[in-house]
Amino acid sequence: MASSSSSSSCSSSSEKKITLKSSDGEALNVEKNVALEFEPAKGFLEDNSEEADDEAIVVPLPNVSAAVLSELIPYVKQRLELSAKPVQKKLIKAFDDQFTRHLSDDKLGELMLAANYLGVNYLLDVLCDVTADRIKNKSVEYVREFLGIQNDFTPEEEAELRAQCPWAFEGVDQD
Amino acid sequence: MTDRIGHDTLTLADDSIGKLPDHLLIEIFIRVPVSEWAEISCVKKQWANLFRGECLWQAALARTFPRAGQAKRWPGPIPRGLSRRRYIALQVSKQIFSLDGEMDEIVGHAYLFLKEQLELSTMPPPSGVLHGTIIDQFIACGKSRDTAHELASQIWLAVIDNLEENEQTFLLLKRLALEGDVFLPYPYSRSIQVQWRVFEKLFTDFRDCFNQVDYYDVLACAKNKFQPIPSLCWLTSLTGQRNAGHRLYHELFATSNLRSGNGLRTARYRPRRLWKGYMSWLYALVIKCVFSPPPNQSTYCSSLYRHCETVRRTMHIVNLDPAAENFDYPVAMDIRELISLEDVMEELGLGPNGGLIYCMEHLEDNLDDWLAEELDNYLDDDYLVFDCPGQIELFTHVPVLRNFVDHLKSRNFNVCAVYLLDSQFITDVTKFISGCMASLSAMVQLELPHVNILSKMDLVTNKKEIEDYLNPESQFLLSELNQHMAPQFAKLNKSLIELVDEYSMVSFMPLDLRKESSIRYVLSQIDNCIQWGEDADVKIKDFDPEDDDE
Repeated sequence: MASSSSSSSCSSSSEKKITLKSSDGEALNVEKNVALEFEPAKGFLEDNSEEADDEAIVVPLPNVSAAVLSELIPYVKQRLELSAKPVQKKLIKAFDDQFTRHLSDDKLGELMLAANYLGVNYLLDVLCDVTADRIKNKSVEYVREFLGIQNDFTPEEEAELRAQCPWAFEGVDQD
Repeated sequence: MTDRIGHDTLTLADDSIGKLPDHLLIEIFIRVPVSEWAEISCVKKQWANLFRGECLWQAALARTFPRAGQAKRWPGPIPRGLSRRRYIALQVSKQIFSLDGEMDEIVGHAYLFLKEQLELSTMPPPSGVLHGTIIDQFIACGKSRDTAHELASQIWLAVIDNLEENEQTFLLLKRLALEGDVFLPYPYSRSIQVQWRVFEKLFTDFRDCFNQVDYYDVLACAKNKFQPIPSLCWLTSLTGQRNAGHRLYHELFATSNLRSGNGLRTARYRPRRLWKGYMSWLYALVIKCVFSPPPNQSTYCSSLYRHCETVRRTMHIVNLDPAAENFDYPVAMDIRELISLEDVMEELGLGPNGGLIYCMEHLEDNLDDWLAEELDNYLDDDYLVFDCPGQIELFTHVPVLRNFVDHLKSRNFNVCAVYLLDSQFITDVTKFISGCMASLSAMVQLELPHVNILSKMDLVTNKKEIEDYLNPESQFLLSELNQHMAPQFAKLNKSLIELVDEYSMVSFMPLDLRKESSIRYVLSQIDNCIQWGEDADVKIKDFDPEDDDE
């Protein structure tokens, strides 16, 4: 949804540069159409649209670090280029796969927080899928260790919880 | 500056996923397969709380069942509940019933309703009430009575199948089984299929839980319920659930042995090992035979008698069918003089088939008395035709006829079995195979010279087809079978055909009762089998001295 609206504006404003300021004070120059993908930036730009010179605008993004932002920007850029062309979904999927394959779990979390804050829904979607993939078919202990989560249950509470969802298995072959 | 960045990412890296806000966690969870949700909720208290809240279920509903959002609330006794319940209902109906369309949700809710009622309370309401509620619900949703009945039956079956195997379920099923029948009009009447499944489940999964008294109570109940029903319900429930259905059938028939007085004699009822693999399949066929119109061997006998009369051959026809009513030929011996099916059914409270088995066992007990006396009336060259009851299990499973035949052999009779297969069976290759198997089974059981006859040939219009069936070619039958049945049966078909083929004993002879030549041909084949007339002397009558004088 966001990508389709941006693809139309892509041709007109692709040369203009916007400056994004990360949480740790670093400034990054991006094309305007990329910046428009980020909802806080988009809102900010709309509020300040009277100002003639886009170059002068500095968009503050206080919740995202420069390190994450510098990973996000190339992804969004390429993704925009891809969805501007009439390519098949398969290609987009391959691109997403490639992007997420090498992410560490910590990075995944950071990206997800950033994507959530910036409102990049398609990235959020992909990241959720990847996380779900990583924790599925794993034991509880593994998931805890994997995500660095402390167990705050007593064994009894845990057993009770486990017994709670029998319906999920009805009609499913258990092999 | 660079130091600060490093520090920042480090603290973030500690537990960045643990830090995710709830709605992101929900997004992740609903992408994990449902079967793992229980595991996931065990990871952390915060996570478990998410599964208790409404948000997660709403999101899951929107993601998995996008159409559910538009569904309207419905009138009727079964409520819709919150998102969690709705999700469970939809999930259950997707997994169990694989329906699509607007019925999904209500079916799932009805299922949950029934299961909870049966499982949770220690004394559930009578099944008629629960069934009525479900039917009302469907009718309130504008379904026709037939649809409502059909859906309700499906729900019952699914619930019964999905009950946990514990003692409570056993008690529940027992109560359902013993529940008295209250007469209710359609569609509030419970389907026979459901009742059958209750008994089936008791006799298969819970067999070891019974004590002796309960066992016979339930068995008697099953007999009462099912024996008088000459309907296809048996068949459908059997073919639907082949693995277990034969068990109950077995139980029902075994009781006639039990009741005949000698206590636990079930061992006698054990089918031959050869059939073990095919047993469940056979039972389905057996029942088919029982309830199909009786084979026409009585007509065969009368035609045979008339034919022999015309060619001046003496022949005595013996009736072994205690249920036979009238004959258009003179009967030399009649089992009804010994025992009558009606009396048995009345006095012992057995159904027609159980009664029949009792009668035949009575005959077996009297082989040395009644039969021996009657047989004494006949001389060496007499030709006896025994008209047997059409119930195929007498030949295939119960050793009665086997003992009967042994008795005849011990008195120096040459015995030959004639097996009549209705020619309508060749219109359907699956039926034909069942006929072949039954014939083969009888052959193996009786160990006699065997003549298979395809009767009622006069009704067959396409005479060209017959050739393929008279001497069944394994390849031909196999390809026909595979064409008629779903691909998953291919392996079963192959082994069935191989079995019939390996024995290579089954072939058929056509018989058209309208044609003298056809009867003569069949008769000559039978004569050949029992070597009748081979040692016959020239008839004395022809050399009557009075004739000489003339």
